[in-house]
Amino acid sequence: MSNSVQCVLCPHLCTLAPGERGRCSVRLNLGGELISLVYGRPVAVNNDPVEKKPLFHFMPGTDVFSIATAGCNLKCEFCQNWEISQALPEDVTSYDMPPEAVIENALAYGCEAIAYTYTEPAVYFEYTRDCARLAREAGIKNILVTAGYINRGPLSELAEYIDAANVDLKSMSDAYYRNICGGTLQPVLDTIIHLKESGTWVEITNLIVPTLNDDPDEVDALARWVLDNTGEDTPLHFSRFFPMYRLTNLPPTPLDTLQGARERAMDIGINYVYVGNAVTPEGMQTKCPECGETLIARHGYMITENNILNGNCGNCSAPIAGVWNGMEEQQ
Amino acid sequence: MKTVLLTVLLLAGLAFSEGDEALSTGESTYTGLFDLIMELTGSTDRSWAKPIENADMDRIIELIENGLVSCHKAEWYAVVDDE
Repeated sequence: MSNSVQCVLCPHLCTLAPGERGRCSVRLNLGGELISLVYGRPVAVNNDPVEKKPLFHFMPGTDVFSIATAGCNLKCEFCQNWEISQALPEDVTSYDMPPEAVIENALAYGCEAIAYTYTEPAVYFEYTRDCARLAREAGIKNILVTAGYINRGPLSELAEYIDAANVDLKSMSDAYYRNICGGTLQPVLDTIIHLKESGTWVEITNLIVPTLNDDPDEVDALARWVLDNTGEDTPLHFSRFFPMYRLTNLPPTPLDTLQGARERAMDIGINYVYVGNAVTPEGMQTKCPECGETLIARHGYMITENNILNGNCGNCSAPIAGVWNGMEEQQ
Repeated sequence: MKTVLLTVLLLAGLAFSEGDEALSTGESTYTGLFDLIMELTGSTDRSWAKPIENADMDRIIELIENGLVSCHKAEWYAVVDDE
């Protein structure tokens, strides 16, 4: 008997001998049992606006209690949070915050939702699931900000409690996922579809990295996939890359590239396309796809104007897809 | 033997393929060939992913005992049957 275990949480399917940890760095074979080293041990705890996730069509203007543990099952060379996502749990200072304390803190800070974010909530699955279950009981919404590299079984279990998700679709190229991120594409596409089918409000983010995934053809392919598989009302965020982690040799994404990607995606038929991490003329505005009226204007993460009335355009009354404050999802 | 077979397959694939790789979708005319190679080799190698590493168990145990990392039973795993 070797006491080896195989983790089936994510598509890596790590087989671990005693003393070995998975590719996520937080799941460890301890004497023939798989344990999580990060349950109840977040390394980042913040109160963020929901727009920072980014979610632009989910309870705009609300505060979100945001937590993350160490660890990630990918190794994206551009990772913006690599200090914690690529760290070993024993090498970063963590808080002692069991799920009950997460809920207490969220309520104490007046947050209407909890976000599992910054790193990869799939790798702290048990903590995410238990927090989300308690939050649901307390009337608090749950937000998953994820790269989507998780198997269907655990995702289904998690999705039961998740109200909204922003999934990072890094590229439409499997080679890009393998070479730049240490993963594969198809499981991510499956996750997006499964979340959508499970009733979770889904928005998608694509980080455009100069020379790596900024080809207009690839932008088109991504927008078409979103349109064909999740529909024209799924918000798509093109996010600006800044030199980080192992890609400090590349420049920030030019604003023209981001603006061009937005226009191409809208031409393809996506109704709500945004530009993140950058200031562009209309990249942060939600406009009515029917009449073109500005519905939500944002300055940074702050909302300066909101003309959505009961989930409809304040000008022409067209329904606007999203989960609006005090309302159920509208699609 | 496998190496010879794979080389033959690769050469055959290159010779008969049209060679127009559709970068925009991540699909390739060579995809089927690579899938076949992976099937033949039965490889579970993930050289493109982060490596599986040994933990410093003395340190981990010490941290667990001091409550600085958790020792929470994980879900979604199977015990490997050597047989």
